[in-house]
Amino acid sequence: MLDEPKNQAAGDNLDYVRDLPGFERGHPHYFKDPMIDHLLEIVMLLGGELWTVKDRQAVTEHLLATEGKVTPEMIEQFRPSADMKEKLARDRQTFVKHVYSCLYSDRAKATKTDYFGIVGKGE
Amino acid sequence: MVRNPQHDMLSPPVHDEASRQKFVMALKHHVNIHMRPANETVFERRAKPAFEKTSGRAPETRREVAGAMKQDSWYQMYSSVLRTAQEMMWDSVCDSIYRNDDALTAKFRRYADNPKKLGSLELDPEFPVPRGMSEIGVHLQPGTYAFDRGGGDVIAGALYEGGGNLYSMGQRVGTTESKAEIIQRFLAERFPDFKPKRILDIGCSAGSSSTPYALAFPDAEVHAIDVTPGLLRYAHARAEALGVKVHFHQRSADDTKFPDGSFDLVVSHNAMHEMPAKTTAGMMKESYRLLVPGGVAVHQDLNLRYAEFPAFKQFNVSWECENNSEPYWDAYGEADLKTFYLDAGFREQDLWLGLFAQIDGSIKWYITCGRKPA
Repeated sequence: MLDEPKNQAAGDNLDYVRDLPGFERGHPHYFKDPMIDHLLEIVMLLGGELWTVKDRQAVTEHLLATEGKVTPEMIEQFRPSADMKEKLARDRQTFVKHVYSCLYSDRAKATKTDYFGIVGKGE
Repeated sequence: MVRNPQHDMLSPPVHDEASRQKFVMALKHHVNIHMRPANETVFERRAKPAFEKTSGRAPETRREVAGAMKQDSWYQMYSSVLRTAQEMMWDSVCDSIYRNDDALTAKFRRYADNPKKLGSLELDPEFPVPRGMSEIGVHLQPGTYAFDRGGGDVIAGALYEGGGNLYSMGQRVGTTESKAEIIQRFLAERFPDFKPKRILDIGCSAGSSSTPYALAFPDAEVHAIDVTPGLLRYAHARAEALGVKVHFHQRSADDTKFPDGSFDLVVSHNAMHEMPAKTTAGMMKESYRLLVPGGVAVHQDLNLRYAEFPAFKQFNVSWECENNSEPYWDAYGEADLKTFYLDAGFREQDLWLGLFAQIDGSIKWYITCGRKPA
């Protein structure tokens, strides 16, 4: 999105919105090279799929430990206890932080990529 | 009744769909907590100096701030992540709702055709759906609010509630008090003896703010209007599934077709930022016309008062307009709502416009209120 901003107040005129990337039906690009957007999308989608597998594995392990067997139906019927729900939520947050914090963390200050250091932790 | 009550029209996700939904919410929360605040740092330390270098002055408007920020790789990455997360949210919701497509249609039919149903549904096949609803997928909702395959199609409403619940939970909105409950608390504090007998909810979407009025005022007759059939069919079935009596109509906010003095209370929730400013002004006039003497209008929405925001803050909140398909977001932010009320006939001494906090203090809504002289 390196164009000049075209963000006029809408009023009743909708013609302008066709020029805005956010109104495209498809996936807009924000970097000069759209491949970077595509790669970021792939990384995010993979993160979602990996978490889904981790979540399923946690349920599988729990069922095996408590029931001695596991089936797809048992996974669908499974309702975690409050404690397990809380642990999964904690694990999910840790996973997201671990995988994506390099986008803003000062851990990356050691690199020569300037904007990581400039942005700081964002806490 | 906080947001997300359980009912028969919801489409429960299977395990993997629920996992994806929770992941997206965690990611969006992470972006909002850790990445959004960094925008200001990037602006002050990099985008603003770059703009000053070429222009000889600091950016003065949100559009100039946007022009400077869009050149910065940080902001490009932030926008790309946030946009993708919103698309992923819809993908995760669509999976479970489209899997239940036939079942949802059948359920709608069952509720709509039930001779003992509590409320009603009135659709107008000739109704001109506004282009802003039919041509734009607001919030990136797939198919737009106007998606309609005829018959008992409720997908637009199912997506609205499914996506809305996830989005709101991610923002911690409505987790302790629904928007309708907030307005009811506002009314109780301001007008303790006010007991409306006839209530109109304008821009009701999936009806999640309409039903709480019928529950809070069991003797009142509650009507709700919106502009697209898919939302209204779903809202009707949802209300029936909850066992709550509401009458839904396909009508415009600025031309409701109800007779003068039809209502004691006229409300809207997060509707003003989804309509042109001209329609908002018309809705205020319609509110005044519809109210009985002593009646009250309350229109609640996001705290987007651009006249009070510095340029950077305007830019930061305006991300939704350009990137999350909110065509009227900035128009709402710029609108002079007080003047709309005064032009509609309300007196200045009968107006209240300001912030009102959700009961847990986690979010403040902008509430506008006018009372018609008795």
